Amino acid sequence: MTVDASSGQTSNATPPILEVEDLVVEFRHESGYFAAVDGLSYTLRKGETIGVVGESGSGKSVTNLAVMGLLQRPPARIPRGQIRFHGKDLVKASERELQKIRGNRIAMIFQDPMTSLNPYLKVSRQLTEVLELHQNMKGDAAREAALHMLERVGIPGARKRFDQYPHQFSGGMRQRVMIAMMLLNRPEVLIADEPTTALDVTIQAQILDLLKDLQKEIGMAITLITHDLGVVAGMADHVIVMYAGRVMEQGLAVEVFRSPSHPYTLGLLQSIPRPDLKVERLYSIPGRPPDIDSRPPGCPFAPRCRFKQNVCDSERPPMVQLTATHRSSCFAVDAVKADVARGELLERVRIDVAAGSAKGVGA
Amino acid sequence: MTPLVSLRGLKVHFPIKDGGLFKKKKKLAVKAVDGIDLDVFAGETVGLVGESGCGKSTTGRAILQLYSPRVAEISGQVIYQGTDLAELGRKHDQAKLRPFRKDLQIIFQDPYASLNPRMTVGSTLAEPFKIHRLASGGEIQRRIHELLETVGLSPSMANRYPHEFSGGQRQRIGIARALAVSPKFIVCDEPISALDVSIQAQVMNLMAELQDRFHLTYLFIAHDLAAVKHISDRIAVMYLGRIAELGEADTVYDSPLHPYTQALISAVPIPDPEQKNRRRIQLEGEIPSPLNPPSGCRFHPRCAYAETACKAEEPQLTEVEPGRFVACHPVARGMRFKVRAKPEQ
Repeated sequence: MTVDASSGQTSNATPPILEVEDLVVEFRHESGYFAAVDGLSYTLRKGETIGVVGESGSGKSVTNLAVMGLLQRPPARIPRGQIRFHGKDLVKASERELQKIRGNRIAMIFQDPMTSLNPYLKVSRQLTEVLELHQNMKGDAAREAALHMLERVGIPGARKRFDQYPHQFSGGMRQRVMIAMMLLNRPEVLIADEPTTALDVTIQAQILDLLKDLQKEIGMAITLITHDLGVVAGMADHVIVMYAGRVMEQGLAVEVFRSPSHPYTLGLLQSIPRPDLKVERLYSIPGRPPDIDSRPPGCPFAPRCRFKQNVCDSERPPMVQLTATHRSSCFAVDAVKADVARGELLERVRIDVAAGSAKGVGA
Repeated sequence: MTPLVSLRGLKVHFPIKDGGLFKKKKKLAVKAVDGIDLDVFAGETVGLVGESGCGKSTTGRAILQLYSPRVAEISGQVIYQGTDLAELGRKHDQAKLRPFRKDLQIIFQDPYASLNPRMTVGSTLAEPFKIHRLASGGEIQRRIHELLETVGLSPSMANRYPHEFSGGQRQRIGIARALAVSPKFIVCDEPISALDVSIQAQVMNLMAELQDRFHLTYLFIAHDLAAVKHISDRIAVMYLGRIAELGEADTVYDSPLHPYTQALISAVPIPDPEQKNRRRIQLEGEIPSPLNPPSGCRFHPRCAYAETACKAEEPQLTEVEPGRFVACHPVARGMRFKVRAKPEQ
């Protein structure tokens, strides 16, 4: 069964906050326009977390720049699709309207907190500015509120550190400052683009736990963009797997991780070392992702796919609806599912692979 | 069995000047590596893990004597086949070090920065043959083609420049360069961290194949514990310039003994949503400065089990079980902290 690209998720009691529908983002590049994101749809509800997984160039960050209205158009353009925030289409919104939403109701944190903080301004100034701009708070009231938030995100000795500069903070502390800044507005949606990639694993755990606690407290929805499948598994309710600008598979985290139904998802899960399992040899997906200007006309993953059929080279695979929440864009869905089922669990598949039933070839 | 490489009391300190313009200069040093003992045996892979600033990369570079005595004060010994390389390094005796450089090689994290953009891959790979006078003329070309094939690249790529390659391919070139001199020991300094997920497995598999084929010994330095566990026979966990725990990879991972190792491993994300709510040990604060490490056990200010002795006396790496070494007073006494990295069901 196939469906169109509209909502692939279950209707839920809570109304959606953010709905992305059949979004296409293109960039001008030498001879023409190339799609960095091609047909993305998802729905984000209050308190939910969606994890967007993909490698460099998969389009995961571009999607979120589009949601934030931060794409420079041109060279980018959005020829198709909608981004609805409480029903209002942000693609058509004016810069003024976007400014009211951006940073206030939809906030964003980035991978590198140093480049997103102003090195010339004290942390206190950068935090109170947010309150002045969006909440009309001033003076001591703003300072107190900002300081309280800095304590809330777990900066030790917050009062002492309040008037320091960003360079006096460590990487993990800076990411906490970014989170504090974002939280001052109690946003409805947080877009976290690789928020812990630059951090050590124990600090990463602290930051992710902090985000989860705060999410419970203020009920914000989170879009988490990352290449780290472990981080996604620990955070996300829904997962979107992107490759070369397209959605390969999306569904509940349990569905995607436990019953992967796209060769790319399966390959990724088999190629990462699992700390909790013993595997002699990792499966490796041969080759590498195509460049944006030389993507194949059919399925972009076809050249690297071990389930490839003839049709995959020429035709774009349809989205196959597997459950109310789970869908995969692949002609060979049944073969993939059979492969996963044969191994009973993914673990078994991994061990088969280790024993040499599949062979990885170098890029 | 004698180890291939032995570190004895290795310290690497980077002196810095402090005290402002008019104040008297105090003598300070970043104690990046502060007394480690480690034996690496022929044919094995030892994983060196730890967080930023724990000294793992510095250790790797100090083994190869890559620091000039002008920037780093290196004390202790780096013994390779009966010769103390640290001693030669302190004397800056490059002539005596050169034959060893053939045996001990390194692969760097950033394949973009570690290749000269103005040299073709062929000329980059020709350099080691010329420097060590291993081949000349047409023989060099033949060896380069052979190397490229060994790492899974096409010999015709020798005429291309680094920018024409992807990250994974560049890392293969870095590996080829290290292999050119037929080394025995390779320091792999975060060789996969800069690569995309699907490429990491390719490079890890290649490294494992090459190890079997050429009987290589690896010191695999990385912060990604899952990758380190996968590729290593033994793991050494570093914290603030010292080794906290050392043992068989699976044992250290499945039942860590040092409180820091326990916390570190519990923080590793597992790609399985059903283990989402497993127990995680939260560490308070961050790693202290290596300029002025805490007294006694360096981990004591963040340790849930710290005792009086931990503040006063630095614990030594002790063999607490056969092949398992831990630097922790209570563990050395026989205490076992019941924290497991396994998920709670």
